[in-house]
Amino acid sequence: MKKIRGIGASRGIAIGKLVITGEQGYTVEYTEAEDSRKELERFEDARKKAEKDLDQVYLEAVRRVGKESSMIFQLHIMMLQDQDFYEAIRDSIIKRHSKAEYAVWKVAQQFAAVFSSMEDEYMRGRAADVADISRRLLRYLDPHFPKDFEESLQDREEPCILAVENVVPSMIMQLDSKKVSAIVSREGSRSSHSAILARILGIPAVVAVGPSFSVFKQEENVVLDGSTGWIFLEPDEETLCRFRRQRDSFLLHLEQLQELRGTKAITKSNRYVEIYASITRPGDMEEVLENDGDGVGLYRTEYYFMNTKDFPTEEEQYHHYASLLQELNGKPAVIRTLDVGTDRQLPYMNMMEEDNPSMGFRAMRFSLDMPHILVTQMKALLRASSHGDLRVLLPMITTVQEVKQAKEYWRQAKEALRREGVPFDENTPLGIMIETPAAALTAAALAKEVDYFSIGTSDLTQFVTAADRNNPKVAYLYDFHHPAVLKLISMVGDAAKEAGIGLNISGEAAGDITLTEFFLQCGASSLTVAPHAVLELRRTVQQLD
Amino acid sequence: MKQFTYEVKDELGLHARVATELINCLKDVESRVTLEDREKTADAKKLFSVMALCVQQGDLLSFTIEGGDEEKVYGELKEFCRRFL
Repeated sequence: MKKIRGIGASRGIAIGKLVITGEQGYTVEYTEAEDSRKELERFEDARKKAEKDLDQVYLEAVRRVGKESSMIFQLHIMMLQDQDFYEAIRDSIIKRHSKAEYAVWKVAQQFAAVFSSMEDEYMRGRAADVADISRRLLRYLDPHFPKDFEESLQDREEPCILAVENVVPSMIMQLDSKKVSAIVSREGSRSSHSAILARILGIPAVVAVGPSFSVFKQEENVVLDGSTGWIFLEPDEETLCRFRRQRDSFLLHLEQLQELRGTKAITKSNRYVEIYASITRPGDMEEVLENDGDGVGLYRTEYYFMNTKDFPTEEEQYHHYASLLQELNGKPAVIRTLDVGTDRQLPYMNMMEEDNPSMGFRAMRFSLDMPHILVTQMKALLRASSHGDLRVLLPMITTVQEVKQAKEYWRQAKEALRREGVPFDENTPLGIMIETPAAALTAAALAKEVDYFSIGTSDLTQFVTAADRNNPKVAYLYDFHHPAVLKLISMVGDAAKEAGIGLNISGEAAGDITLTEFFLQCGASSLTVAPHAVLELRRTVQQLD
Repeated sequence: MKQFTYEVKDELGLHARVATELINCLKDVESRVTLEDREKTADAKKLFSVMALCVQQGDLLSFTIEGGDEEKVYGELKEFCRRFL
């Protein structure tokens, strides 16, 4: 048994025979064409066909993985249509009397070389895109073009593990799960488009095995572990057994969880709790819906602000929030106002260096200092409220005074919209994050001011234990099981119950299934976790008494 | 002729997705639009030409617009930079 290691790019275990496919060593020799006009026609014809194929791939990709992740195919279509690319091929055909396949192959090599020679890693990666479009053209032009992976898999009955030089995005989209169970490639990176697509579609993948790739033999037995990046060649019985067990339990686990889609998190004694997903960008929405989250429990708008070139306008923000709500189709979304500080900087804002940013000028402290930004965001949020079930959340509250101030801006935002005659939901709930010990200890007073609480367990733990969670030396103290943290959560729960307002638990602790029962006892009406943890948590709740 | 210079703020520079947006944005534009970055120039309507500039974060990117609709295109490109770069 041999083992080699690449980079685990998409988790999951696959066991099967290896099929190596690709165009290693493929070249086209120059031969003079008899009729240049005919060659040009052949090229134009191939280009039309390739474009049509790509349109199909693009539409299919949009349907399966969403528009954002499918942009790469738009890029390919544009490359095919590019005037410089077209003219270079035409010149080669007309002036050098090349045959169409030679012209395409040669020009694609030249264009790819421009990218390959760039210093920027991202741009170097674009050479693969040029290769992908030239492949599409050559398939129609050269009868000797190597069989592509689809053809070489045609007669397979058992799923195999496909080994390729480089995984191109369109390959991932065209994989048939009955024939391919995993992918391994010589080149590539975890952040490539192909790797992202593989993760979304749940295809195990190991990339960048490098020179070890040449060790692979056609049809040998392999075990591939997409989490660790290990590949075992001709594995012994023991290894095989171990990975079979791992694979089966992983698949069983996923399958069992899938059965929970469409069910509710209701305990045996009929207590219902909503399981929400947290997101940092709208692209994460697909994952929320895929994992059947009961809604979005926390959308951190700072990442949106960090990716714009300037403060987004009210209009831009309104469209942004409204489209998120529309995608949720009636399910609730909790959107948190800006939480920036020196550790989460806006590229267009100069902020002073701070010694202790997590306790510094951030979140509500920042917003109350720049009320025009807060009011603009509140107006945009209120406008979006007419498109779904929106709840607004204020981060990092320390005093009742801050809440009163923020509510004054909330009133001003509503007042402005009424004046402008813009419709919004007057009853949009306004809640606060409980993440400072001060807020937890005065929860009873705060509860009178707002519609709901959301406990941010990660920051709360950090402040209660006075342990920086990013500092490995003190990380052992950062523990949300600490009795002090649990006691505060329970106090906040009592205050919420007394005032009759909702209580959400978010942060790392919310996903800890050993604490689920405790949170329910504290009166939690919802829990917010990462999208992939939703179904697991739902199962935990269903098993509680 | 209209001209302006913009300092690129996006972490990835003028990456592939933004390049496709730029081509789309200039699809029906009549004016000639030239990009200049680190002494290299490119036709802003051509994908490979734009990508070959390899525009990075912090670069000073100059736009030159010449033609009948230059006023309109000038405004649109400024907005484009603000949104994508």
